[in-house]
Amino acid sequence: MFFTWAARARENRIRFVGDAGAIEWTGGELRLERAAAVERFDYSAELEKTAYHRWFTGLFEGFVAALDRGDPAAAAGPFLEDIRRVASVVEHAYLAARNGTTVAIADGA
Amino acid sequence: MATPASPEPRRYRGAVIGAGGIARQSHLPALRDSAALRGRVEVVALVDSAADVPPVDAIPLLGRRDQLRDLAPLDFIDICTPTASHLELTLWGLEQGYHVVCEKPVALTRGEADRIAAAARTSGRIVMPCHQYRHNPVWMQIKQWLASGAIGRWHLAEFSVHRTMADPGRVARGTPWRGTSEAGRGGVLLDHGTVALRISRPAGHDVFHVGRAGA
Repeated sequence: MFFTWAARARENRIRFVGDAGAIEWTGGELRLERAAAVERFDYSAELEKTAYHRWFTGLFEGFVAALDRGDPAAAAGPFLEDIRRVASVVEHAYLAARNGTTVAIADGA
Repeated sequence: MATPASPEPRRYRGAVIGAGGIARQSHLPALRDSAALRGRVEVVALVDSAADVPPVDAIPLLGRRDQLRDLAPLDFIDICTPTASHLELTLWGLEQGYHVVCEKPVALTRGEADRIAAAARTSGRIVMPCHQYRHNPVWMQIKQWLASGAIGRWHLAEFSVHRTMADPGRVARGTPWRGTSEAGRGGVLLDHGTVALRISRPAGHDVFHVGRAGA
């Protein structure tokens, strides 16, 4: 993973490579490469800033569904685990940056 | 024979805390304009203590969070403030008995996460982080391809996010708050990084070594 606020141009790039092909997302284009063929999909419109609120709609629908369950303790579990998992990686990353070393994250840390 | 009508689903009352860019561009449109949520959620107030906050149509603007007590009963708060206030506001919300939705990152250390978890358990309330990226249509398609084996067994994942500066938010002048340690508590890792960390997990990829470029 590489992130920077000091780039010369805005760009997003996500790539997965497998033993039967690759997926690459660059800017507004998503590409699937397999069996010696490449399929390209244009997602530019869905990735405009003006479309972000649609992603939040899905998020809030999940929140309402969690409240509807009427069992906050059960509903909260996965959310709290999510918060802790991200915090753990962030904490380790800053430790690594301070020490100038690579840090291993133990299972369940 | 007639069947009894289903009871009306409950409508939850909430307040958005922080009236910056993310609240205006994403949270409020989703909560107020989406057909799926309009009947289920009512935003009864927007809270922001800044002096120059532009009003939002038909939502009362409050300068102090304790004014929310006058709007009881309130089910939840939606925290859209800079990172430095997330922990304190989340704990405050739970103490008041509100469910909490909070912009990412909610906690920066495991100790903070544990404090939030303990407070959530004590109050019997939910804290949901805003990891909205899992609803990004591109990412949803990628996950579907990975799950269906479209590229076979994958062995390499690369995430790269390049920006020329931090998102300036609503006040597009001076240093963006995300770039200050006082309000942002860190740098790009806490912004785009938390997105990538979160979405990489359902792909079956767990981060197990971290370091700094050039370290």
